[in-house]
Formats: sequence, structure tokens, C-alpha cells
Amino acid sequence: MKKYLPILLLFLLSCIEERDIPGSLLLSQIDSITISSEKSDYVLDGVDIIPGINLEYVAKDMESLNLERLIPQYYVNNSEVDQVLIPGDIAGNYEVFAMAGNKESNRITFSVIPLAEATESIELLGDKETFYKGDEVIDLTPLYDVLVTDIFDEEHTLEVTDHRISIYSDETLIDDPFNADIEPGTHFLTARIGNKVSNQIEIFVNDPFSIIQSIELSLDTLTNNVFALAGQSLLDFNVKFIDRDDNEITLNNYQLVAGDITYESTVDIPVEIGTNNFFIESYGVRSNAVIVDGREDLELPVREIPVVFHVYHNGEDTGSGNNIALSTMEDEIDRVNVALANQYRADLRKGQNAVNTYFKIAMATTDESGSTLAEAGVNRIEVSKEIFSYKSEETRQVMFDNMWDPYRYMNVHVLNLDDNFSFAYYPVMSEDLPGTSTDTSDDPSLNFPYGIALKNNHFGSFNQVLAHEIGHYLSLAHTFGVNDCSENDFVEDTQNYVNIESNLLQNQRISCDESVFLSTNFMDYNQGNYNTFTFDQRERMHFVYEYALFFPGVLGSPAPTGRVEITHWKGELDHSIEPVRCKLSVH
Amino acid sequence: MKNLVIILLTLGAFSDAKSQELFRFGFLIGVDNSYFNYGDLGFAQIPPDGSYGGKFGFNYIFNITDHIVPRAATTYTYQTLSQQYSDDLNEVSIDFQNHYGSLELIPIAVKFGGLIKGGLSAGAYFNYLLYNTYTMDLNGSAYSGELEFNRSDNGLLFGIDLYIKDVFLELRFMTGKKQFVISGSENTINQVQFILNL
Repeated sequence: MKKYLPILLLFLLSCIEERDIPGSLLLSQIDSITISSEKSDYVLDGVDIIPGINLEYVAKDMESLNLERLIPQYYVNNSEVDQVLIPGDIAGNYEVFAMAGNKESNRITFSVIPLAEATESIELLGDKETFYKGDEVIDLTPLYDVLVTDIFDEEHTLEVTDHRISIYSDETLIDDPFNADIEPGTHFLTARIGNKVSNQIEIFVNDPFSIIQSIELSLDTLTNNVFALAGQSLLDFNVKFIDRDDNEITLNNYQLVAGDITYESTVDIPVEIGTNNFFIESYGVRSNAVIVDGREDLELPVREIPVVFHVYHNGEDTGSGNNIALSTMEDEIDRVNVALANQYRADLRKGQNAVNTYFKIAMATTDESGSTLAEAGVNRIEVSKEIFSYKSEETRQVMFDNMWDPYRYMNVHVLNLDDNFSFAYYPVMSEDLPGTSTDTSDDPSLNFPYGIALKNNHFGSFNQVLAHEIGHYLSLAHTFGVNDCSENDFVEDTQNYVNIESNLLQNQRISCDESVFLSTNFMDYNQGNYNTFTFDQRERMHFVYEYALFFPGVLGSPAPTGRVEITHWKGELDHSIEPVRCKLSVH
Repeated sequence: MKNLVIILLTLGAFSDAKSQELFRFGFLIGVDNSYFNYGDLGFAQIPPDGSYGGKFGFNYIFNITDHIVPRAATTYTYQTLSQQYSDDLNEVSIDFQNHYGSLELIPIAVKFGGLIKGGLSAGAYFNYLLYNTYTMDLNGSAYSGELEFNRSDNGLLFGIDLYIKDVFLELRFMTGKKQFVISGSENTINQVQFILNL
């Protein structure tokens, strides 16, 4: 028996056979499949069509056999497809059927009809336009569309560049709607598909050689200044074309000329040293000239001014209440030095003439007697008065009494001033400087608290209040007039304008010559948009350093040549000498 | 294997007392492997996708001679069946659990040999589907639908037997004739059973 066992096993193994299951018992329940579509006719428009297809299964058990999850296999023109997609670029008939299990559906036919055959009517959409022959292009594409209504009452909005559409100017076919070649004169545009013709739209094509009356060139608001820094400033211009009917027209074909150089653009135009003469040339017409004085920036020695903060407090602990912390003042000096070095708010566009002032403020290290200060740059003064009036004589007297030697220190009085003011005094000069007083007497004395009164919550201000007041201390006036345009800051490269309070929230200004400019100057008023001391402001600041009386030099170094140092500097306080009061928002 | 032989010999000895009788009543118990034949299998071919079940029942054996032992049986069979179908788009599976009552008539049953005899058997069977359940899955989701079945089936059976006195083991091939699920495609059931007859 045993000898037959292997034979038996081989026989059994030979009976085992792999196979493919020929069909699903579940799917074989389907008796029939019906395919249908609500729409069978389409217009050839270049876009592939995904027709809506309904499938219905008829099965043995109609009620319970819900076959909605069943995925049929579709065929288009007898080719298996993943999705029924009728080509949108080939006209013709497309036969579609589905299979599921081993059942094949009925067949339905989709017809794709060429647009020319399917067009019922055409409408050219757009308005009457004026073009300029010879300008960059006569581009019809953004201005006009074609609305086609087909024989199935469906509407198609087509671009004029659609290859099935012809655009005509009068009876002339326009080959390229992007760059239409149309002669000057009045014309009528039409769209045509097959033998269907659209409505007409009247257009005018002008000859710019004969229509331009004038071209006006001006500096853009962002760079509007008659001065600029050669090699640094980049100018933006505005161009306006005026036709013979005094209407402003738009032309794109022009060049900006600056000396021997021609620019195709009007933005980011560099400036050369000397007089820069800019004008526009277009179709043989030349604009007015815009003249910009290009100056070369200077590299100057850094001039350091020691500062002492006189902190008036009411006995609070250091760092609380009116007794401002040392770190607060140190941080402020850091911020001021960033401003003076033309590094503040580099994220904002700077004025055309923004420069490094080459001034630096440093905390004084010794007191008037030469002893080392416990806190560098700080003199704390306890007073009983809690609030100081920004305009009272008493306040000025306190400042005058407590100020340190102005030849050695820039005095900054940190006070709890009423209202939202800080203020500063202009210097007294030994040489004439417009906007300041000059004392050429043999024995001049100081009769006012030359220095700065800083409201004690103006530290850390986005507006850089201390930098603004230091500008006054260095003779800079506000860049605006309070009352009218006769008031002047005696600086050529800052535009003069009359301050209007409503301007404070933005930095676009209208100058006294009625041009619009961007104000970025530390000596203006606005909400934190300062970042500029100008080339000419720097000139005044350094003139003050050279020729001001009662002005500190670098500690331990000799006073500049032009400066006169007087041992007994302090005179009697003259209340008639007024400071520059600045109402500055803190944030 | 040795232990199995000892057990069978013991069972054979137990039944020896009745071996002289013309008619003998016995029990049977077995395992069942069932699978669909979609018309794609030759005789006795077995696909690897069968499912297992079991059966038990009663034997009615006629000892006409020592070598000719026709028999009949009434049985209950628990059968599992499965179809896993997939194509490029769909995956469908159905799992059946079927309960049959069966009558087996085996007029041809011969045995030969000594203490351990070999044997061959052939006959017909009639299955009646007493009750069944099934689960269906269409593309990953349970699917509820109702299928229609042929509740009765009949077919031929062929066996190879191993007798140890009155106890015998049988390896049987059964081939059904009727569609199981009534549908447009052929789906008869074939069974391979391994039965211990006592």
C-alpha cells in the first residue's frame, strides 16, 4: 500500500490548478445597463467636454441591488477610457457606451459641431476707443471680447484672439489683435465667424506725430526734490501727454533723455554730479526740462557731543515714575545715533538727500567738577514740583539754574511737562547763520537754558522726539511754516510747506510751489515716518559745531577753530528768548 | 501516523462484533472543502481558492460480500464558499455560509486487501440548501443585495477508501450539476471531503 502513496499524492497535487475567476456572481446579476445624457450636441470651442452621463442598471432584484458604487468601464469610439472626455478641438461624432460585469450598455452619440456651423449670432463686446498709430502697439485683446450665441441658445464669450474668429477693421482682416496694424482715421471693428458678422464698434486711430500738443514731465511725489545725491539717488518721473484738444492722452512710446543718456523707463533714474537736465522725447515732441542739482555726498569726521540728562523727580525710586531709568536714556541715545547715522527706518523710502550727519551723541562720564558720574550721562535732581508747564518762566528758570557747562555738555532736561510738548533752544552763533542769533561781543554770556526740555514720556517714541529736538539744538528749524510760506527753515533741499494738522497721519505733502512731495524729514511732524536728515541740514549742523557759542566739543579735545570758549558763560536769564516748542505725538 | 493506525485498528476491533451482519448502521464525520466551478475546471481539478466546512451524518451499509459494500448516507454539511473577484475598476467579494441536508447513494463500493483494505466508491448525491447567509463587499464597502439560489443540487461522487475492518476513511470528490447562484454565468459547486466512517 505504501508504495502507492506517492503516486496518490502526485495525483492529488496534479488536480490543483490556478485560475482566473471569469466573472463576478454579484455583477452577473445585472441584466442590462442603460446609459443616457441630457445633452448630446456640443459646440467645438477648443475645450474638452466632460458630458453629464447617467447610468442605470437593471438587475434581477431591482429593489435591493443598488449598484451606485459600481464603477463601469467606459468606451469612447470603442476605446477604453478612464473618463468620458469628448475632445474639444475635433469636430465629429463620438459614440459612448459602458460595461459593467460582462454587460454592455446601449450606445449614445455625442456630436461636436464646428463653431462656424453652430453660430447663430455674434456680438462684439467693448467700447469706443482711441488709439495712437505708431505707439507701442494697438492691442485689441484687453479691450474687446466676442459673445457668440449658438444654435442651442447657449452663449460663449470668446477672446478676439480665438483662431475661429476673424476681427476686421472695416473690410480689412486684422492679422494680430495683439498688435493691430490700423491706419489713422475712423474705423469700424467687426467680428466674424463663418458668414456671421457682428455689430460694429467705432474706433479712432490718431497719428501722434500730429496730435501731441505738449508733454509735461515732472518728478514723482516719491522723489520730488530739485536736489539729489549723485550716485545714490534714483529719481522717478511722471509723464503727461496733452493733445491738441487739451485732453490728456496715454502714449507709451517715449524716451527719457538725460544728457547723452536715453532711458526707456522713467523710474529709478540715476543722478550725475552737477546739473542734471531731464526731458522726454516722443514723436518728435520734447517735454519741459526737469533740472535736478546732483551733489556728491561728503565724508566728514564724526563729531561727538557729550550729553547729560537732568532727571527731575519727586523722590521715586530710580526707574519708576518721573525718575527715569538709566537704561531708558541709554536706549534713547542709541536710537538717536541710529537716526543721525541715516540708519533709522531703512524700510521706508528715504528723502532724495538723506545723509549721515556724522554726529554722535555720547553719555558724559564726568560731572562738572571732573568726578566720575555714578550713572554716565545722568544727573538726578529731586524737586517738590510734580508737573512743569512747558511754557512757564519757572520751568525755564529751573532749567537755567540746573544746567551744566554748555561748553562741555549738551543739557537735556527730563521733565514731567504738561501737555504733549518737548522743546529746545537754537544756538547762539559767533558767525551769521540765518534763523539763529549772532553774538559777536567780546564777552558774550548765555541768557537762556541752551539745551533741550524732553517730556519724560517721550522716550522710546517712534517719532524720535529727542533726535528732532537735537536737530533744533543744532539750529534746524521745522521744515514747515506754521502760518504761511514766508516761514523758512533756511535749508534748500527741504521743500517748504505750510503744516496742516490733518497731514500728520501720512507723509505726502503739498509744497509752497504746489508740487506734491514725500516728507521723510526728522524736522517735520508726522506719525513715525521720519528717517531723513538732508545734505543741507547737515551743512547747518556742522556750521553750528564750528561756530556756535556755548557749544560742547569732543571731551578732551580742543574746540574747533571758529569757536570761542568763555569761562564765565552764565549770564542773567532772559525770558524773552523763547525755545522752539514741539507738539509731538509719542506713538 | 502510527497512533492513527492504532486508533483505527481499535475502532475496527470495536465494530468487529457487527461485521457479520448484512446491514450495518454507522456514523460519519468529515471536513469539507468547497469551491466554485465556473465551467473552467476539468474532472477532479481543484482550484486553490476553496473554503473549509464540515459534515456529519449516518451511514447505512450493506455487506453484500466481504468486497462489495454499497451504502447510503444522510448528512448535514456546513459549507463555506467564497468568491474574490476583481478587475481594473471593481473589487467584489462574496462569502457564503451554506447549510445542506444531503442524501448520498453509493451503489458502487468495493474493497479489497487484507487487514487493511483499500476501496473505491462511486455514486450520486442530492443536496438541499436548508439555509444560508452571505456577505458582499463592493469596492471596499459592505453591499446589501439579495441573490437568488438553486436550493437543490445533485451530482456524482467518487471516493478512495481505506478500510480497517468496519471503520473506514474516505477521500471523496463531489461534482455538482446545478448553478448555485442563479445568474447568467456557470457556477456549480465542487466539493472535496475527507470522511471518517464509523
